[in-house]
Amino acid sequence: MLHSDHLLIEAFQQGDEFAYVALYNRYKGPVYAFCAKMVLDREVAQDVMQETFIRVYENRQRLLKAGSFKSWLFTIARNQCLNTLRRANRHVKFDETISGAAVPDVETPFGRLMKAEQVALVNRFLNELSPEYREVLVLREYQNLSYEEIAAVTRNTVSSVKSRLFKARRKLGQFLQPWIDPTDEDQKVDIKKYEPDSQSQSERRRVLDTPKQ
Amino acid sequence: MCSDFQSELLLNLYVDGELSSSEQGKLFAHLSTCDACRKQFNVLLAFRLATRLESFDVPPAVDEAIFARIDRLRRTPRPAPDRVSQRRFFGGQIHRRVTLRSALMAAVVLIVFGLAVRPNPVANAPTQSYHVTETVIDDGALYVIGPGLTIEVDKPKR
Repeated sequence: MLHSDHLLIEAFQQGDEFAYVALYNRYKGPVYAFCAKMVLDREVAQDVMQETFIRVYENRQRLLKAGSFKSWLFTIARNQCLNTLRRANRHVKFDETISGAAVPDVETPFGRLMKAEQVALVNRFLNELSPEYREVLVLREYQNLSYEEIAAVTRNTVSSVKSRLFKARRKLGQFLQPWIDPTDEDQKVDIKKYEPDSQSQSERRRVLDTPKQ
Repeated sequence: MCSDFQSELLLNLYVDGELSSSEQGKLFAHLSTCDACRKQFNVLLAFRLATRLESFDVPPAVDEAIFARIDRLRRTPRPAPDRVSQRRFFGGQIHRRVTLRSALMAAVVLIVFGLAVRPNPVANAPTQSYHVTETVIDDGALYVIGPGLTIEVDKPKR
């Protein structure tokens, strides 16, 4: 029998360990997905997720409104991710092992790419976004959170969330359009301009041809 | 990129399911004429489909590691809540350990100070003037200590 978050939180706060396990099983996937897309490294994401759920356990009495558990949980996960990124003091290096495939050739339309290639391309794009844009896009697209929920998680206003989402999607358009319609002559001209890391096509191919270490 | 900022905004709201049906007509009318917005729409849909491709299964080893840590946390004895300090002033926020010696010294200082400033009831009593009148009568003396007090003294027997 499925219990609502509200009942589970109350039981958990009163010391019911089974309620915690139920909450963990319910949210471990979404939290893991969020962390994986934020730090772009699955192994690191597992550590971050672990830390998140430990903090939830330790600080359960600090959650005053049981109805806001989801936002609270993602706020903790977000802080852990940002701390991890801050510690690294750089954009996390794109991890090819996330996708298991290299970034695809721009001549192939996005829709015809292998799944792993599509995922690799998405990861490459996320890696280029700053964390403040990445977090809103990930919370919206992967977690399906509403504007209000994203605002609560990121400690921001709804209008700021909309603005950041708008800008992130503009960048997405600039990045992905060459792959959406490679036959578009106008777009071909723009490929170099919108090249994610400002590398020329030949340079990018050279990098991709280099064997993985 | 479309030069019509408002339409781009509507497109974003639409993909987020936040666009009212009355405004959807406006967006669709724009999409039918704007190539840039159609391409952007395709990008957003392609991205959304791509986000659904990945699975995020948490490895069992991670589950085990988390519950092992929680088990250790549970076994670690927590300090009992300090009920005594909670009854103190300011909910126990102000509490410092003091030595017996310093407590005694503080007590002595307080007593001395208290004695020094204690009001003297005699000194502070309101002053009242009395006058004594002695009247010798046949069988003794009569002292009238005014006001309100009269003492009759028998005449000493000789």
